Amino acid sequence: MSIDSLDILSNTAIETLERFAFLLGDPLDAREAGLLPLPPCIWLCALTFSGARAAKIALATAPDLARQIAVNLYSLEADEITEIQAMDALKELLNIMTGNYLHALEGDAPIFDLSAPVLTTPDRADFARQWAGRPQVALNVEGQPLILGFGI
Amino acid sequence: MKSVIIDIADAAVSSQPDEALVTYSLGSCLGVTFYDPVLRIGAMAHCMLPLSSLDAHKATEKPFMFVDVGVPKLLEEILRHGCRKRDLITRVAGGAAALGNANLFRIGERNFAVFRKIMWKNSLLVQGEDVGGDITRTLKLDIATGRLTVRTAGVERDL
Amino acid sequence: MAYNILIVDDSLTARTFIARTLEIAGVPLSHVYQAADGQSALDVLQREWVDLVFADINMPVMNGVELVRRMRANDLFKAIPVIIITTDRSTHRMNELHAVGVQAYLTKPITPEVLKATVERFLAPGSGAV
Repeated sequence: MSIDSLDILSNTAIETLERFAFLLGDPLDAREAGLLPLPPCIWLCALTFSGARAAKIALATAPDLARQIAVNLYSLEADEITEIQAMDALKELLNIMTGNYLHALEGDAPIFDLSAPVLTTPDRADFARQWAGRPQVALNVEGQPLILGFGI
Repeated sequence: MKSVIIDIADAAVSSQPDEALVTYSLGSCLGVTFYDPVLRIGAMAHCMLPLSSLDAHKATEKPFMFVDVGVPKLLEEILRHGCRKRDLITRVAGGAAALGNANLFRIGERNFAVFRKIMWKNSLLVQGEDVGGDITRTLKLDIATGRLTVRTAGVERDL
Repeated sequence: MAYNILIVDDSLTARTFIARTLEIAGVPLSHVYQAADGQSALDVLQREWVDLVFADINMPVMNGVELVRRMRANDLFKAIPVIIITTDRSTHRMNELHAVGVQAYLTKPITPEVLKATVERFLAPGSGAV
């Protein structure tokens, strides 16, 4: 995973958050990301893509961010958002982010197939172990952490 | 025609047919206008920053500094003049890249993103936009006709 | 005149977003049907009158490409306009879908303004709508 492609992923993620979810994200460098406290509960959303490139991409964040995304998209109040709506909003965010990332990387010629995103709630310690030392993108999205990585 | 100049972090509403609302130097700032063609009332705000959480105290003193409180407040004020939301024509300009100031990360894009959120929440269509790039814009709203002109580098066009 | 719309996407969020975008765009709506995959969409089309279909491409059970092929092969549905809304921007895919008879191709995320401009091309002229 090159630094260029991580930069593209970071920029694409920030643009998708702005244009789709109406949220503002700030990139975090490795030191800042290392200081990022893991939320008590983690939602991990992943999909696989194939075609000109193939890999599994995953997005990890706190449920509160997923709920905020759903609040913005459904135009409902926070207490009206169901867990299903929040989870689905996060999956759709990953879907759009991945599509935009792949085309930013490879242009409009190649075809990609994206699997349906799957959401899990991993154990915090397992999550920290799996993600430690892996190339990743970390963002601060209006006070909430969002991490993107590959092959997890 | 009398020009009512709107400074940065400020706004105005007018129902005077001999007036035009004008704001200058829209770089990364956002110039937002609402116009009611039925009552011939117009409103304009010049907002600098996206989120008031940056400075809640300032947001109380100068709400139009921030898109997230300024644009809803502008909407509220024009509706208070008797306009109906469904009659309003919404147009926006600015949101350019902040040249020479690397600390303002994507400030133009962020102003526009927060503006879009407010439009979405209020079920408002944006009927004209001239945003982005790395240029400075001047915006002028003619209250009698609703004509909105954007001037940049000496070239004027209607929005 | 108000329209019956069918939105086909495996994401609940995407379907809700498109439905609300249509409202904001001022499209007069009689009924909005939703389906999570191409097969369910065909089931709706068999039962209900639909004026316009929005479809994603990547969906389980039956994807958007196959849905459009089946619609165009059926005399009952072949005239219904289809607008694709997808993350897939590949020119090959766009050409493939235009070849099977898609009217328009939009990439996510869409805005009400873009949707309105696209839908207006397929609504009845002089209907007074949008």
